[in-house]
Amino acid sequence: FIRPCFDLPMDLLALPESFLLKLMRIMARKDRNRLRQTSRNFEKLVAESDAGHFDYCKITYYDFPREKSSEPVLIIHIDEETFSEIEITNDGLKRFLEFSSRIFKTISMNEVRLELADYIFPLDFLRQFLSKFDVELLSFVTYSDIQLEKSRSIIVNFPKSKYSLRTYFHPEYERILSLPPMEDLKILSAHPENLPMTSESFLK
Amino acid sequence: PNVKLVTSDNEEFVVDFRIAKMSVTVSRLMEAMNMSETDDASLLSNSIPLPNVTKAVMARVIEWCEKHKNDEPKEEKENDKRGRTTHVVSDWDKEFLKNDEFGRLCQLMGAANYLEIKGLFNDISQTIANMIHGKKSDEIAEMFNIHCDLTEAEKKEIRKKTAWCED
Repeated sequence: FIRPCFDLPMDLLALPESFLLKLMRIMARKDRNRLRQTSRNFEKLVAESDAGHFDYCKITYYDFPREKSSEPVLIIHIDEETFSEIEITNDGLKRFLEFSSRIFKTISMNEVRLELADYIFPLDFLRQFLSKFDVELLSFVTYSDIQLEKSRSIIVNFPKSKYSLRTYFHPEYERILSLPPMEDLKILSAHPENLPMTSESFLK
Repeated sequence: PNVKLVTSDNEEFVVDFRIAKMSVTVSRLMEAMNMSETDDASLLSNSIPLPNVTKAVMARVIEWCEKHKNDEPKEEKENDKRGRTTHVVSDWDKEFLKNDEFGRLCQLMGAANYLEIKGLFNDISQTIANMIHGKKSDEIAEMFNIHCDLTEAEKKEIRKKTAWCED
């Protein structure tokens, strides 16, 4: 007995949960966003599911004037995809957090790369956003003591991750020694004539 | 050696031992019934009941398994363990699945899930994700017969809130 076509299951939501969760993990971000707009049930499914595993997320701060806006912005890349500029204003950051909570509950990354800035950097936002992340390696690029201190305060939120750090200034030894063990540590000078200091320098 | 598989509609399929072993569920059942490759009597005297798979779907599953029976076992990558796979559907598999409408894909996927044939399950999942890829929400709803219970005002509001992320 072969079931006729009209008798076949045609409701995506009627599929086994294992399949739906698998589907949520392999769909692209834009596709998840569009699927959630099809019905309340899908909105819930998308918001409460894991977005899967990605290679990297890069978060960069920009504060130079641009055509669209003069506000400083964060630019977030997840693998090949780039989110639009997120204005560093209460409204802009709130909107982004609301959006991200609607398209995934958790997400895992091989690597999260952070380039911090000295001022007006929304650390609370970053902690809140990254709280959904399971991060294998947390990488920082810093250009000042202030940024290094901010990096340290973010590291505290990821006790299970590995870390790497690249600085483009020479921090005090005490500050470096106060950091947890690093997978990779590079201390480079902003001036090319100075040779880079590497983690080996601290092991001698 | 061959193994007998019996579907929910009482159809018997005789398949190569290697094909039977591609299903984790069948492997476990064979083990529980003391059926082994080297013991012909145990294979001849027993058959594996598969009450969740129909004849039509089983025939498709076996066709897929025949094609893949000599595949090298894939090593599980770290990414796979964590859920996201970079699964590429081969040209043969695309061809195999291309004429299946969504309903039939679901039946096949249900069988792959029940029989625990990971490669087939991944192929179908990726095929459905590919069907969704790049479509607008109303196109997705139409394709999968999703009844939209969002009001026009709600849809407008959602579009407004997420317009910037569609860039």
